[in-house]
Amino acid sequence: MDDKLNNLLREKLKPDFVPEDELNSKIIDQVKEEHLNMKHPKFKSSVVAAIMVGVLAIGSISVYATYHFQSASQVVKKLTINKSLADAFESDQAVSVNESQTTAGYKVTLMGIASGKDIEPSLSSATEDIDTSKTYAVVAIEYADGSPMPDTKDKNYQTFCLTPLVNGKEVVDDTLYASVTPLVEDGIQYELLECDNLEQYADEGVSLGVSAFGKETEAFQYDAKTGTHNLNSNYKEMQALFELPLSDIATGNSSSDVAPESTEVTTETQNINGSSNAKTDSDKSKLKEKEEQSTSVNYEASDADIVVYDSDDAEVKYSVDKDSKDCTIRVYPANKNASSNK
Amino acid sequence: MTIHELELCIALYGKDIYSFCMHLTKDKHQADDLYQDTFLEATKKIKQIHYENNPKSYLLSIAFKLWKNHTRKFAWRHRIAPQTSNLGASESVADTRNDFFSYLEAEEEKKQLWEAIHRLPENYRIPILLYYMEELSVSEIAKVLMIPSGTVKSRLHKARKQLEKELEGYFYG
Repeated sequence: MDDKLNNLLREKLKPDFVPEDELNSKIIDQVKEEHLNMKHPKFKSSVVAAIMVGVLAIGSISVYATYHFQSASQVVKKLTINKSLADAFESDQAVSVNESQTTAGYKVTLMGIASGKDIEPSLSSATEDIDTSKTYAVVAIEYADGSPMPDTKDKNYQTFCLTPLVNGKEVVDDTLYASVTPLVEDGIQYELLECDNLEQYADEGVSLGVSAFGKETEAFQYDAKTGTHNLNSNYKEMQALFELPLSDIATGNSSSDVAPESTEVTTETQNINGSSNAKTDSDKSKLKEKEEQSTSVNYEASDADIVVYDSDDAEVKYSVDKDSKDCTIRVYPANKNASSNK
Repeated sequence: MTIHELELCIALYGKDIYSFCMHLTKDKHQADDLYQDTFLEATKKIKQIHYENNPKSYLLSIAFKLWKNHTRKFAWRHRIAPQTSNLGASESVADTRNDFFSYLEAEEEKKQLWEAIHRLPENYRIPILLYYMEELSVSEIAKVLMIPSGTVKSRLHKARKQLEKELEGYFYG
């Protein structure tokens, strides 16, 4: 790290802008007025009494529900003995979202998401062949009035559908092998979604739709012009749509509170016809692994650099010499961004 | 939140929050609105503001979320009606960019630095603002932006690399 730059930034970057007194006064006055309205609502006394009774009853249940509201990691720990999955939700691999939407008498909260290759075994697989490249999301569903959700054994138990919706794909058939595992705890229904790793669609954008089971095609609409999925305004039952912050999920670095000073670059030259002068066998296999993981590779007889971001967090740059057809491959550890071919 | 607590929050953190809003929006009117909305939103979240270890980072996270929602809605409107002339934010940013820097009553050196920072893509600029101007830690920044700490470190690193290139020769060697 350049200490000079670091010191310069620390010295020069100070909060220089001061809000006007008038602006601060406006904020305080507005809050005072809101507090005043809350103390003296302009309602008839009988209505006030009814509302107060309702608020007291609902308030106590809401507090109860709020107190037992769990973190995504705690939900996972209850649902599975998969320790690595629970740990992943507490790690840098997870994004804590905690966004709530109220719909048709329900409050739906997307608690958090986690993706990764090293979360194993997968929740629903009991076989030897475990696909570790998965995305997980935890959603909490509760009644907006705070009354408890029916338990899984209750005859009134409700099933919900969590649907990953990828922009640009009309879909609902391709559910990306999504499966949902429910848990009802202290009156709140939690749903743990497991599906194919959604990070590959980070550039397109992905939303998570929550609806009653079997209603996903009615609850959400696909806009072919923009390629986005939206709530169907004509649908009056429970529907929630959350945009997933996928581009922000990345494999974490070390716990040190300092940005990495340098990136490690490995350089190999490989003849486009296949021979390689990789220095060691482990280098060769590492390169091969990265090539196989690349989302797209185009060996063009040009001298343009071609950059591919593979499913690992490395940037793989190919530059091809026109005459010799030698392809130089450089691998830079980096966060995944949009892949581009020049 | 009581009025007294609100006044205290404004006294302690108003300058930090307002500066952040100015650098996010690059427009005084939008910054004023964002600043106001941030505190109004904060007054609704009584328990969180009491029990947060760092009220400043909590207020910054509210400002950031409100700003993100605003830009997302604007991008959506722009996408479906690009032919309309009231493009609002982008025009005001372009028009007031010069005005924005004129607010910085600072020496030339500082202005050059700020201009370089404002040339950074937003994904890099915001972590730089939070780390150096607001003096938050990487983990606090991660909470504000709702991204993993690793991503914060990576963006800080890339931002510094870009600034080094832009500022070399001007500030140092």
